[in-house]
This record gives sequence, structure tokens and C-alpha cells, in this order.
Amino acid sequence: MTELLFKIIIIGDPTVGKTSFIQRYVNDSFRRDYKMTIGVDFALKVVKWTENQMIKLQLWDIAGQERFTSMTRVYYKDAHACVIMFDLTQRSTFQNAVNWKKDLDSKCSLTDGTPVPCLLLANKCDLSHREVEQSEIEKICREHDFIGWTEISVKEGIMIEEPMRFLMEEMMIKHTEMEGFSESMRQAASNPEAIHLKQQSTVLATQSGCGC
Amino acid sequence: MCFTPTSTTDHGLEHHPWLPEYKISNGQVERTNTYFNLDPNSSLKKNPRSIENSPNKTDDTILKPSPHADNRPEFSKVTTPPPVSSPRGSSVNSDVYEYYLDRGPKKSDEDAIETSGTTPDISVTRYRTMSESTPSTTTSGPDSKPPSLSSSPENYPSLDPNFIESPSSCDSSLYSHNLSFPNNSVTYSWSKGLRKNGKDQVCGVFSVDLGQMRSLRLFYSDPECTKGQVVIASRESQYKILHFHTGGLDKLAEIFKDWNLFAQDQSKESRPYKQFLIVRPQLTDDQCHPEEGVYSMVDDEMWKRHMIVDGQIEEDYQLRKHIFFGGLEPGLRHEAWPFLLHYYPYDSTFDEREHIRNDRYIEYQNIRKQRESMNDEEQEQFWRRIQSTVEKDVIRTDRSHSYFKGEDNPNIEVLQNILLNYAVANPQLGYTQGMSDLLAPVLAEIQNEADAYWCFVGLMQRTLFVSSPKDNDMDKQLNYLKELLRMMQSDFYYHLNRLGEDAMELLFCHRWILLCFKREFPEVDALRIWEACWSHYQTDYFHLFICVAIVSIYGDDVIDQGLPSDEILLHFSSLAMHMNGDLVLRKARGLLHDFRQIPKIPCTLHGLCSLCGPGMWDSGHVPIVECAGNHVDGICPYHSNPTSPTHVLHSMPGQ
Repeated sequence: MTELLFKIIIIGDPTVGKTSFIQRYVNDSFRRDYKMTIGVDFALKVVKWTENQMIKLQLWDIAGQERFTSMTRVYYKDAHACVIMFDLTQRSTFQNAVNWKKDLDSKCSLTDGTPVPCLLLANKCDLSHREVEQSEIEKICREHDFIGWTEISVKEGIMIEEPMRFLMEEMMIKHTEMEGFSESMRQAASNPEAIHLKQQSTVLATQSGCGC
Repeated sequence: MCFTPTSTTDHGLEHHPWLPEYKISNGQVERTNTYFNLDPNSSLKKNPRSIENSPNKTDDTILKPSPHADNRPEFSKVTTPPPVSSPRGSSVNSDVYEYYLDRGPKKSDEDAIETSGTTPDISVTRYRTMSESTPSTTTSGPDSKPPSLSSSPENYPSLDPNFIESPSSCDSSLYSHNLSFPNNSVTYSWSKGLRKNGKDQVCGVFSVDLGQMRSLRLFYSDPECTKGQVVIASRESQYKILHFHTGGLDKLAEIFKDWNLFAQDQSKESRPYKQFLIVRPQLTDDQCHPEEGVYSMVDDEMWKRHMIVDGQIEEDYQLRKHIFFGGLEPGLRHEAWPFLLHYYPYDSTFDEREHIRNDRYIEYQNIRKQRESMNDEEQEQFWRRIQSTVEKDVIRTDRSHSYFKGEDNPNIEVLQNILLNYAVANPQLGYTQGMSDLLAPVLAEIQNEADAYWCFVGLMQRTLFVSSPKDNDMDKQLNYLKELLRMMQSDFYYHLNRLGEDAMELLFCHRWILLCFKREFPEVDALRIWEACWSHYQTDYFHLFICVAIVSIYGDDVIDQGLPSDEILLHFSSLAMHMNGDLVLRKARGLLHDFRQIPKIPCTLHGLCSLCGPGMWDSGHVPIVECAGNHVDGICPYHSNPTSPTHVLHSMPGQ
């Protein structure tokens, strides 16, 4: 049995449902009155991925209204994946999703220099009032290199596991790539951090991130 | 015993009585194995005789010792076991001790344990059991939701819409909502049966092999050492906190101590657990401030004695010192807080205070009018920037507090108005999350909108440890704290230092500082800490001494286990609401005393005790300040700062 640890950060505007999402995913419970997150919290979830592979997820619940911005770099650091959430019933949170993505990419990238895989989640799809059209989400998702998006309802427990599983798939693929990569690096006896992954670095624009 | 899931601690305790069961078996393997099982009392109530009759009933849930046991515990779901009747006293190759924490006659009420104040009896049963069986099931904790989706990916059938819990609104629109997530992904499903609802999980069996755990810690919360928590940490850093609200922890500790397993020489490498720790809420006298215990709580009589005839408080230093050590009687808060929060000057008379109150009332009404007279565009912008967040925050702030309880409680609107008006009057600060947390207790004590507003203004402006939107303020606090840790908790500091710069960001204490420990301690303790900080006795940064005190009392584990920075965060957040506030306060006062005894302080800390004044002395606290070097811009803040303490000579107040 092998075990892998992945750090996933959950970001987005205040009150879009980040804490609720994590609690729903980890404990399958929902409350209306989660206190606003101050600073950062985190939760753990262990998933049995295959018969001999455990995945330990570290879910970093980051305050939507981050007050001292220098800290976000620390929060983002070493993230393997990211979930950006917005509230379908509040348009401004959708507009800010792009800012969150830019903020993430400017502060952080994977060790191979590629952007942190990022998923866009549109929460509160159970409510009839909505201020964001699907075509818009689709567009943003494509333009800003999200790896996927979906509408969810934390309250009703709709589409909670699937996006996370999708994210784990992504991280596993990345992990395997990196493993093979570092294996070949070991053979070449060189510093793995100094060299970019073959396929990825040619396709994707190199990030000027902090390399964290 | 009562188990409280950690996830609910923010929202008041939910109590779930449990029957704990401890087993040790000395199998034929080289190691001793210890099992810790918890059965929910709910299942026992249904079949109370099962306690007496089936000592082996959890056999099917116990991880049996394996000759080549993997060092890592496996977690998977174990449902409440059916009572298994296994004949007592059959053949043998291990001794099993079983301990029951029994409350005597079972009441049907789940809260029976909470309401009863007596110490539970622990009965010990020793029996022998068959244990030739090989490893069977594994352990599980409700804290860690079991991996219910554990089949291999290729086995996932296509998306099963059954899982959707509200089919009426969403079933048909599955695809139209992009719920067939995302097109390039695998599809999968889970069967409803695998999903346990929250209650099932909470009441599942908690069973671990203590030999496979990373640590077992006992935290006492009372001086008698009967109440507190047992905290078990797995090697995956998952925590289980078992609460002893009404006593009995001492009995459990005795049992643990009797076990050879725990009594073994701690230095022995072969011990199966990494750590067994009992944290007693005790400070030696030399750790305490020499004036500790001299001052009683400030009561009404004492309060009046500090005022002279016309209502002036002449020696505010004495009063503040008294509050710092003894605290304030809760009934006096609405009277005393306006002074501590700089709404009323200490030397104001009754008449002057009445004037201040009237003036400020009018001023507050003007602010309100200003907010209400915004044009449509301004209003729209204000709503988007401030109000939408405030509205969502006030309904989730202190709702269990009697002052804010219940649907449509008008006090919530008052809370909201104050925050909105504050944002209007202080546009550069606006609203930052956390303000509602700070304001709520103030409003609940002051119980008047305009007065509470001005106290809040004082809280935001004059106390140094409140939330600030600027990086600089927080950086300054954290730099002070790092230096204090270096001087006063050097083991902890060097542990962080070894971990690198991420650990030095002190992530684990950001919330402590931003919310003044409000989410770290129950309100009664938190408010005593606030008052001690607001007294500005000998330092303006007493909250940082509180931080150091927490590290000093609860941080040993971090060093002993060599926790990395993310696990330090987890360690301290698992302690939130379970720390002993009184102990932390006493330790912090002792630390302040120690700090003031240090003849030479580094220049990085020169500002720590400068603004609070000299107290009853003619001159301020004047330690020798030494430049520590390594300043970012090459300029020492001490020498470049003309208001350094050596230059401060205050006049003597009163007498």
C-alpha cells in the first residue's frame, strides 16, 4: 500500500461556499452557519484510490477576504491543485474568479513550471435566481485555462465527489509524469528542478511563477 | 464519556456518549498491541445487557496483531458491530483487559452523561479470549470519512443519477447544468448504500490499535485533573478528541499508567507508540508572575472604590493592573469596557461622560444618515463591496450567544448597522471579515447601538492587536512574536527555524492574532484574555505573550514529534476551544514578568513595552537595547526611532 499526499487549495470570494464545500466533501454534512474563515483552515481526507494506492488530501480552506496579501503566497505554496469557487447567484463572485486564477498563477506553479491544475466550481445551482450564464462560464473556463468546470450545490450535495475525483485523476497523471521525469533525471544524475518536463514545457507557455 | 467531533466545535458542542473499551493483548508477536475501541452508547442502550454479556462483541472490529504488521494503520469503514456472542474463557493465547467507563444506570437521554455531575466509575474486566485469528478488519474513525469510492477507476459504471438528493430540481437538468462533469473525465458513481449520513458516521465504532498511533495525549482542563480530553493522533495526523466533560479522565490516566505499555521506559526504542503524554494544567510558582493570586476579580464594590466622588478614576493604572490580574466581574463589563476601549477617558467625571455620550450619539446618527442618503449608484457600489458580505457574516456570528439567538433576532440587525456605519465612517478600512466576531461580544455587553459603536471604534483604533487590512501591521506583530519565541521558547523557535521560511510565517497563530483568540477559547476565557490585553499593563502587546504561552504549554508535542509546518497548523487548530484559558493567562503573565526582567533586549523588541506608560513609576521600563543586526534596509529601527523607551519619561499619575 503506497500513500500519496496532495495539497488542494480552495479559493474564491467570501460566502461562495468554500468551507461548506470542504465540510460536505469531508464529512458529508451541511450547515448554514459556518463561521467565516479567518486566515486558513484545513481538512484532511483519505481516499482509497486503488487496491494498493491511498491518497491523502489536504484541503486548504483559504479565507475569501484575505487581508494581508503577502500571506496568500504562503497559503498557495506547494499546492498540487486548486479549486476556484463562485456563487451563481452573485455575478461579482464570478467576475472575480478570473482574478483569483490570475493571482494563483502569478504566485505559484508546479515544480515543472506548469500552472497548478485549477477547477472552476459554480456553487448554489439549487437556487432559482442566477446571474451567470453557462456560456459565460464555458468561455472563461477556456480563456483562462481551467481544466474543467461544473455547477454544484453544496447544500443539496450535488456534484461534490465528481469534481474532486476528477482533480485527483489530474493530479495522479501529473504525479506519474513527474515520477517518470524524476526517474529519468536520476539516471541522468542531474538536478530535476532545473529542467522542464519535455511535453509540457513546449506546449504551455512557461510560467513566471515563484516556482513554489 | 462523550465524544465531540472536531468539526462541530465551532458551533457549540454536540455530545455523543460512548462506551469506551480498551484492550491490550500480548500476542505471540514481538510487540504488545493495545486496542482502543469506542462503541456508541446508543447501540448499547438498545441492548444494555450486551455490556455484561459479550465482552468479545467487538472482536470482529479489532485489528489483530499481525506478525509483520504494516506500520501504517488502515482506515476503512466499520459499521456498528452486532453483538457477537463468543464464549468467555475459552482458549487462550493472549490476555485481554477490558475497561468500561460506566455511568451506572443508563438513562434513555443521550445527554445523561452531560447532566450528571458524578464521576464515572470505571470497571475493569479481565478475561481471556481466543485470539488465534489473523488480521481481520481495520480501524476507523468518524473523523476520517472512509473511502467509500474505493473500487478501481476502470470499474466505474456510467454516471448514476440516483445519488442526486433532490431530483425534482436537478435531475432533469443534469446535463444542462454541466453536471456531467467534465467531458474528458472518467465517469463513476457510488451506490447510495455506501454513503453514510453524518449521524451514522458519528455513531460508528471508533477503534484503533494504539500501538499504531502516533500519539496519545491527555489534556486536563481543570486543576483537579479529572476533566479534559484524550487526543489520539494517527500517523496520518488525523486526530480524535474524546472529551471528559464531567470527570473521569483521572481514572483513565491511572489505568493507562498501570499498563506496562505506557509505563515502559520512554527512551526505549521498541515501544510501539511514539508518544504517550499527559499534560497537566500546572504551572510551577516560579513560572507565574510573583503577583499572581494577589488580586481578586474586580467586583462592584472594588469598581466604586476606584472612583472618587464625581466619578473620576484617579489611578487608572491601579485599576488596570487589578483587571489585568484578577479580571472583571461579568456584570461590570458594560460599565468598565467603555473605559478600557477609550470611549470614556479615565479622568472624566459623571457629567463629562454624559456629555460625551450625548455628543457621540448625535455623531453616530449623522453617520447613519450619511449612509442612508447615498445615491443609487453609491448604494449599489456599497452593497457590492461591503454590505453583501456583512449581511452574510452577521447571520453567522455568535448565534449561539443568548443575545443573538433565534430567528429574526433584532440584535443581528443592530450588529449589521454598526458594521455598515463603521464602514461608511472609515472608508479606508471598510469592512474586513472578523470585525463581526470582535463586535458581537462588545454589543452583547454594552447593549446599546451608539455606545457599542463607539466602543468598537476604540477597539479598532486604539488596541494594537485588532484586525488590520494592511500587511505591515500583521508583519510587525509576527516579527515581534518571532523574536519573543526566539527569546522565550527557543526550542520551539529553532524547530520552526529548521523547517524553513514557511514555518516561520507562523500560519498557526494568524487567527489567534486576527480574532484575539476568540475562536481558540470558549467565550468566558476569551473575554478574560481580551480584558487582560485591554488593560495595557506593562505592555501593549500582551496578546503576543498569550501566543507564547500557548506555544509554551501546548507546543512540546510539536517539537517532540518533529511536526512539519502544515501539521503544526493542524495540531493547534485541533486544540481550538480545548485549551485551558486560565492556565494560558497565568503563564502569559509569568512570561511578561520574565520579559521585564531581561536586562538586555534586542532592538527588534524595543517597542514592545513603550506605549503603555511607566505605571506608578516616574520613569519608564528601560532595558538596555542591543542592535540585533540583519535589518532589511540596514537601519536599526531602534536607533532610527526617536520615541524609543529610553527617551520616555512620564509624569506620575495621581499622588
